[in-house]
Amino acid sequence: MPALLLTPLLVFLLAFFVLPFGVMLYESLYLSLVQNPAGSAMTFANYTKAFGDAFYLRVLLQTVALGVAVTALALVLGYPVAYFLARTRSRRRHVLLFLVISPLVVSIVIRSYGWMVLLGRAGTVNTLLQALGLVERPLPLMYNWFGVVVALTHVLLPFMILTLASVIEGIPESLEDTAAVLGAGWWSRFRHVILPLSMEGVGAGVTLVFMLTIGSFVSILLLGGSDTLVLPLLIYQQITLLNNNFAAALGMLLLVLSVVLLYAQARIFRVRGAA
Amino acid sequence: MSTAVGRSKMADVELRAIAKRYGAVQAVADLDLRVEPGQFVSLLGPSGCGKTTTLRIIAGLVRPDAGQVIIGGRVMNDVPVHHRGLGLVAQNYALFPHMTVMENVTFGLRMRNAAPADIARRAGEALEMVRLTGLQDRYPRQLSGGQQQRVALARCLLVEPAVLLLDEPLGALDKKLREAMQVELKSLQRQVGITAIFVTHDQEEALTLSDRIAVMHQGRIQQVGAPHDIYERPRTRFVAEFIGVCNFLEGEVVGRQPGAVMIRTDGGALVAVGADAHGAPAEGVKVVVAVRPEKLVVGAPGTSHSPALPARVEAVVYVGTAVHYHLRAATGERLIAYRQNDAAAPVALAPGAEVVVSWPATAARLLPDVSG
Repeated sequence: MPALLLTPLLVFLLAFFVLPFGVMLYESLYLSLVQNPAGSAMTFANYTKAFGDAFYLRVLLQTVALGVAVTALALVLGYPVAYFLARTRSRRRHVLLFLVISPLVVSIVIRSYGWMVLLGRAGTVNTLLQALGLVERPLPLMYNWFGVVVALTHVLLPFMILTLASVIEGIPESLEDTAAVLGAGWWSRFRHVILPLSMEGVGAGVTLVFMLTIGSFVSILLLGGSDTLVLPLLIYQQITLLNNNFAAALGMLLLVLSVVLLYAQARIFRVRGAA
Repeated sequence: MSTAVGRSKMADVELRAIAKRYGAVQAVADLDLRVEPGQFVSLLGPSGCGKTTTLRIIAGLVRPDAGQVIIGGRVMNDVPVHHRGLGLVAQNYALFPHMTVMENVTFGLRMRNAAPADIARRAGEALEMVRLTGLQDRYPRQLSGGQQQRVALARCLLVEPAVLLLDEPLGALDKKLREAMQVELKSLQRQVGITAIFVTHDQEEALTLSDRIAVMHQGRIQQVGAPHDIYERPRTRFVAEFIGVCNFLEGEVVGRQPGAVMIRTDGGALVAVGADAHGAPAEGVKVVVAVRPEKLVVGAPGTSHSPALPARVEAVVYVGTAVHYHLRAATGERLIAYRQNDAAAPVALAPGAEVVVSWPATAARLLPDVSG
């Protein structure tokens, strides 16, 4: 009975994943005591509030925009590294591999502190730029979107690189060799052979990084500013305001966003001609 | 040839003192090779002998440390792979799995930005030539192994390559299909008249397909010649051993007669080997006598002419078309002899039977006594 082996995990997921989501869905459909001390009947008020209010709508759009920005940056920066990692025969490959996953071995607080040291008004980057005479006054590199995007790209890049590398490794090198002999330069080989055949990896990496970005909290809290409000921070705010039910509705939005993307991934990122 | 795919350029290929080292391994060492226009030449050798590296150097996929690659009279060392105008059929054909047959076949022309009308016309002709008309919208995984090979060939030939490079393209096929594909490959190559360089570790395949074979070992060419030349007149023990099966008797030259050299084997037997007066080694030189199993004559004691080695049959292997006798000479040497299973064949000998083994002096070859 191999199915029996799944039971512990299924019980775990049921208790700590499905059940809480059920509770969250239930709560999102009622008003909190803060909103309505008399208690309320079932309502979509929390959802209409999230979509009806320009402020909340902006937070929602900012969340998606941040996800798109970090994902795009991770893809562009990560693809060449993933390709190199997948193809190199160097004995120092494991060193590169360690460097790639190094952001993950540092605690999030330490890592964010590191970025603060680098990006602050009197930080390393600004000091350097001023010393070189490239800028007169310190650039605002932190407590804004720039700092958030840099920090998130840094920590999520390993997910993109490792996902892409494993897929690229599965593309036979003979396809590239054949394409080259047939007259394809490096850009054509990438454009017509490697990229289309690695679309599944691109899809998986994009989905992973996007979902992790729109759900990230601490990096944004530490490196963001007053205007870098995204859904997870808004949810936290609402909970501290004892508005759990609205927070639950926002949580459901976050979940729906991820599920939609997961579904789209399977549709969009497909390799032609695959079985 | 009037078809587009038939207009081959029939270039010659010349390798001059090619060398390539990977770390501590000398993959190719001081390699010279000339391939005449329109010839089918095989690079044959065991894995790791440098044959694939040599092919990749010709293709431009690997840069040699030293030496020149000359194709059609032009030094190609500094010409990048995608500008060399060659064709490659890689192991397992390397069809692009995400492209249809038509897209695969036209890949090279599309990379050259040929006019769409031109591409369509020539692709149609090429598909017809390899009998794939009607399958142009299929994906590679929907094709049989034979059809895949024909797509790979059509894709290659459509760009009118100067040289066709084949990197063990039949390696993954089962024996029956491989034999059918060999015939097909050879006839297509002849029809187009293209120069072809074929890498294989399969000696039978090399013998079947090639105009000439270059046997490689440890990065060097051991011998280049026509298939019958390589088989009948191997110049080194390695070549004799690698191509087919061969018996070796180690010994010393003890005498010379007109047209033959007398050898005393290490076991003490006296045998004669046909040799011309010029090439024959002097007395006292250590040599190896090589005789193919099918040239040995196994007879009852006392029936044979000299030289004859008394021997005992140790094992008899029946393979259908022939019977293989594994023999142990009275002087200690192990021998293997094939007897054609023809109508005139006498009753097979049983293990333990005492026999004498002989061969015509001209059937044996004298090789230098150096291993490798």
